[in-house]
Order: sequence, then C-alpha cells, then structure tokens
Amino acid sequence: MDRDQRGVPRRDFLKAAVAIGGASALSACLDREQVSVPTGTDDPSSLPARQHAWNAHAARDDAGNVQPPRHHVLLHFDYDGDPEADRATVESALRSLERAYEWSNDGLLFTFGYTPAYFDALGGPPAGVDLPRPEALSDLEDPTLDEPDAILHLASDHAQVVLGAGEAMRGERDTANGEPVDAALTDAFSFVERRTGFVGTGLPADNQDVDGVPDSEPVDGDAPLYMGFKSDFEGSQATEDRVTIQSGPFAGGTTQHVSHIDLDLRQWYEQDSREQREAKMFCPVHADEDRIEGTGENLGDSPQLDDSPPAEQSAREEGIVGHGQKLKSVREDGRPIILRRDFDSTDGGRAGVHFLALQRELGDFVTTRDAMNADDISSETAVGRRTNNGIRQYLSVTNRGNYLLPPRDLRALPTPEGGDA
Amino acid sequence: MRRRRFLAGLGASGLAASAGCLGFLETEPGNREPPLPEDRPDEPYYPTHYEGMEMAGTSANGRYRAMLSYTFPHRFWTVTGEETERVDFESSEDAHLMVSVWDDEAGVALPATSPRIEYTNPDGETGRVNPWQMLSQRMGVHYGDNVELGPDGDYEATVQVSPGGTRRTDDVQVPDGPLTFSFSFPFSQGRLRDLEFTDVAGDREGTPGAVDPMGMDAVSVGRSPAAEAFPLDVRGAQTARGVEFVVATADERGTLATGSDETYVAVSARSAHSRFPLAAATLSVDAAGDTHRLVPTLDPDLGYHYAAAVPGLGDDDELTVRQDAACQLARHEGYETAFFGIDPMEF
Repeated sequence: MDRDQRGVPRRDFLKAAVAIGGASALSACLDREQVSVPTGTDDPSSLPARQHAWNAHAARDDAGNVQPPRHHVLLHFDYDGDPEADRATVESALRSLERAYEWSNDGLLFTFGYTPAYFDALGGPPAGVDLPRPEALSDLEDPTLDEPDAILHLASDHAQVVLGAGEAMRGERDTANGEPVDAALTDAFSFVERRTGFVGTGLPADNQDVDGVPDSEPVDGDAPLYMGFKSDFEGSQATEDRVTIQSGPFAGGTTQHVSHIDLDLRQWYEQDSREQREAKMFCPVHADEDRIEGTGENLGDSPQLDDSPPAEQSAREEGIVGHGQKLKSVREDGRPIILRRDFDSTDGGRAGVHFLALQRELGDFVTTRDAMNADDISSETAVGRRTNNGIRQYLSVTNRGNYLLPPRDLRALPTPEGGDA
Repeated sequence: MRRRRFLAGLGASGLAASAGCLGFLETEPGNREPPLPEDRPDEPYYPTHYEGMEMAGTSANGRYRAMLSYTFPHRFWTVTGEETERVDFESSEDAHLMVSVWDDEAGVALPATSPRIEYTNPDGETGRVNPWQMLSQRMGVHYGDNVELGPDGDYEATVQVSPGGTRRTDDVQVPDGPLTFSFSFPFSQGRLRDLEFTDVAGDREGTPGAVDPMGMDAVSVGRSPAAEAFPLDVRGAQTARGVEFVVATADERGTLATGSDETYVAVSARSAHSRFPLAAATLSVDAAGDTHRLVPTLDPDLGYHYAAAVPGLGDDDELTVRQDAACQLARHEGYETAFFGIDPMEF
C-alpha cells in the first residue's frame, strides 16, 4: 500500500478526507490523489435527459455488473426564496459542475432532488408523481424523518471530486477541477447537513475502526460493503428504464428514497458463522450447497436465486429465510423494481449504510421493504421479525427521506406543476 | 470478563465452585467457563453452572413493562434450522445484558418484542445492541447478548420495544411503532462479583433436567400453565426431546374461531420441567382431514401458544401435531441440544 511521508496509508487518508470534509481535506486530497480528473462539457444537450442516467457512464466488472462510484456525499439544503428569481442561479451552479467534471465515475455523477416538503411549500405535491412524505416502514423503527427541501448526491471514484464539488456548491471555492464556478447552490439555498460514504473493494476494510465493527477487524479486504458480500449484481438491480417516471410533467425523472441504517457487525461477524451469514444474506440453500466463494464474485451477474425455494417454504420448514430470497417475490420480469445506489458510511463514528434507492413510484420502495420485513412470514412461522429473518437482526433504521429527482431540464427549482425556466 | 474477575467472583460463591473452576483453569486457560459436559442428551440438561442476575430496573410504558438486567457474560448458542452455533464471549465483553417484556394489564409475558437497547456509560460512550431472542433455564424467554458496558459508575439506557409481533386473542390494539423504556442503573465489577455463581455437581451436570427458574414473578418469567391446569379442554399432553406439547380445544377463544362450525385448537409447546413457552417454532396440525397452520398467539390465560381455527372437528377426532421447524430461540447452556427433530405426534 502506498504511504505518504508521515506513514498514513494513502487509501486510509482519502476515506477519512471525505468523511471529514472541508478545504484542508480537499487540498490534502489533491496533493495525494495523483489523478487527472477529466473535465466536462458546456453543452447541456450532450448530457442525458435523466439525472439518474449513470449506468452507461459507469465502470463495469468482468461479469458486466455496474460498479458504483467509490466515494459519495449527500448535501441537504433548505429553500426559502422565490423560485422564479433563483432558478437561473441554481441551473448555473449545476452547470458549473457539469463543466468541471466529465459525466462519469472517473469524473462526477450527481443528482439534485426535492422533497415533498419543498413542493408543499409551493402549493402541492408534484404532478403525476407518487411521492409521499417519509414515514416509518416497519413496526421496529422510529426513524428521524429527513425533510430538508433539497438533496445533492455527489458520486465519483475520486475523493477529491466529491470534496471539490461539494465545496463549490456550498460557496467555499470558486473553481472546481480548475474550471470556474459561476454560482453555488448556497446562492439560493441554505446548507443544512452533509453525509458521506463509500462503496467498493477495500474501502469497508479501510474504514472498520468505528463503532458497530468489532476490534478484530473482521471485514475482508476484498469486501465491497461492510457485510462482506457483493450486492451490485446486474440481476438484482432494476434497470434505469424501470425506475423512470413515464408520463406527466416529470417524465424522465425518478423518485429517490434515502434511509440511514446502523449496522451491528459484531453479531454478524463474531457471533454468526460464515454459513449463517450466507444463509441470511442469500438463501439457506446457498449456504447448504456452499455456492458462495468470498464476496460472491463467483455468482457472476446475478445472486443465482432463481431456483431457491420460496421464502415462505424455507421459513416454515427450516426456520430461516434469506434476504435475497425474500425479495424474489417483488421481481418483475425477473428483476427488482428498485435500483439501489447505496453505500456504507462512518457518519457519527458508527458503521452504517446510506441506503439510497431509485424507483418509478415511492410505492415500489415500500413494496420492496414490505417484502424484506416479511411480516406475513414472521407472524406465522419460526422466523421472527429479526430472528433468522434475512439480515434484519443487524440493521436499525435511523433516518428516512423521500425525494423527486426531476429530469435534467426541470431540476432547477421546479414548481409542482412541472414549470421551469 | 477477564479471568482475574472471574476468580474474584468465585470467592463469593463457595468452595465447590472454586474447586471445579481451578481444575478447568489448569487444563483450559483460554476458556473462562467450565467445559461442557460430555455426551449431552438431546433434551434439556443440567448445565455446568448457573448465575445470579442483577436488576438494572423495571420501567413502565402504558400497559407494558420492561425489565433490564445483567449477569456475567457467558456462552450461548444461536439456532438456524436444526443447527446450533456456539457463541463464546469476547474478552472485551463484561456483561450479559437482558430484557424481558410483559403486558401488565393482561398479565402475560411477551416473548417476541424485538427490543433495541442503547446505553451510555459513565464516560459518555454509547453502545447499541439488538439482543437475541433467547431461552435460559433461569430466565425463561428473554432477549439477551454479551456486551461491553465499561467502567464502574452510573449508566443510562433506553430500550425500544415493539409489542406487535404476535397476534392476540383479545382485542388489545398494539402500537404500530416501538415503545421506549428508560433506565438508570449503577454497574460495577463489584456488583458482578457479588452475583451468585453456582457450580452444578459433577454427577448431575449433563443429565436430563433443568435447574429451577429464578424466583421472579410468574408473569415476567412467562411460564405456561401446567397441563392439568390448562384453561381449555385438554386433548392430551406428550413430551419429546424436551418439548411438552399440550393440545387443547375450545369452541372459540376471544376474537378467534368464532365461526359456528369452527373449533379453536391450541397447542402449547413448552419446555419440559420449567414450562417456558417455546416461541419461534413452526407448528401445524392435521385435523378433520386437512393440515392447518398453527399461528403464534398470545392469550392472557394461555400465554404464548400456537393456534388454528379448525372447521368440522369432532370431539373424538384425532389430531396430529407437526413441528415443521424447531424452536429458533438462541439457547443458554442446558437447552442447546433440546427441542430438535421431533416426529409428528398423535393426540
């Protein structure tokens, strides 16, 4: 591993830099991340109409699975102004990012979204979009409901990009990747909160010195996520088309749910066996037949659950049901109806997940979460609400928020009717 | 718990304990508990030792009560299907923290409430745990896990409890989100040291049976009514692998089986010896020509049991009870080999 002259492992420093944030983290990052980040375009028409069109611009692994950008920042903003007056400023800010960074995992992928609270303040819900206010989605949780007005999701393979773009949008820097920044989001919004995270081989292991992970450092260096398994199989993701709103003024947009979940990896790694982890994450048959090597790379482009028994059957007869196995019931044409862009986090000094998911209707997320809860199974079988119920034992939801990601041409302070500049 | 503390604890608990313990320390210095008995039976057995527990407190929220308590950290077993996985405590863990919950108005223990515990130690550090649903010979069904509390001093804890995991025969409306219970309690190594530690005699440990439940009131420890005192028409009682199945019927029970042709079939699966309800199993019953799923159910008088509304059941009809999946409760020592592999039972 590369080390800088003070002996801090380079990768360790870079992950800490995103979590810590600020100008000094960015400048240190620029010093250490010896990369040339490609710049973007000043021709908006060359960019996809959908803000969430990332997959064609992302890296893929040998099996063809989309590899999520490695570093992530979520910025929450409040708004208390006149959209007509501020719209051009907001558009100018976002175009500054597109000019500074290539639309790719090597540059910057980002979305800008709005909450039901934002639209309510402008007179009503967004036309033609299923976007309720956030609420608890199981009887085990009492989450903080995130209701800022807007959310910016920044994602890149390079820490310096999510740091630099975030600083620019908060008005802390007037250049990004060497390009001028014409406006900041804080010229129209007030900044509320910053959340951070990471996903991809090596990063969870580098970030395991936090609460929620035992001191034995159990997270494998190959693991893309804290829980040790791959989850970005093409076959366990909805397509971007499936999650895109089809009609109405916001056609081309999508809805976004972002929850934060505390992880208890002490139980997962120190009390459960590898076999139990395989059974609970995938399916008891996967564990019995020893189908999973390492992080699950050997499974290819799907979790290989097609011939798994129905969740209800495993629960009744074996007293255990796998997480992936439960979610089979909400597939459409063999694939899920939500597109996960989740990432792990050390926010608050604890191991967690920012579970970010895109879906055509927020109801698609609720349907998927209901399948994960499996109340119908836990009320009638040996499986409990947490006991042997997939991975529910180890997850505790702390926050939930719902957002509309408008199509790119409506992303600047849209009205509920879909009016724009 | 470090060995030094363990030895200090033995000082308070008598010569027999010390003698047994010193023997194992000589042979297994890495292990802090006596070795398991050899040839454990496939039913409840007398463990090598048992411990007292210290109450952190009992807290009320509406009709519900939650009790938080702790004892020495110790080994337990999680269960997946027919497999058990032994969990030894880690050197950093200094207590086994437990939660028991009951409905005080109905007078019934709630074995499935999925608590979440958050605690703050005297240094201001917080810990969080979703304890395992467990069964122990001293405490019955509870939630527990080994945890790292911290230094001696005053602790604050909140426990979030979700009472709605089991259907009820009465019309009590359960909240659709967790209830919070608050606790303040002192914790110290001295208090742990003062806890009773009883070494079970060598000729008794590992033999079928169970040590007596702790002297807690019947509601909080949640014992099922004895077969002869079961409030319904008892069709029979049989015991296999340490599970006593009491099968009973009634025309209806509360809001359930109220149809004119329906019979309420209740199967109370409880541990032999102590009558702890064996939650988290899958049971079904063959009756009147069909197989019926038995649904986990709470009743103020029957406690936690499994029940179905069976149409067309005659008084003399045979019932066959099937344990489709064994009790998935994590187990304290003495229960980890029990309750598995039970053949259908005719009543």
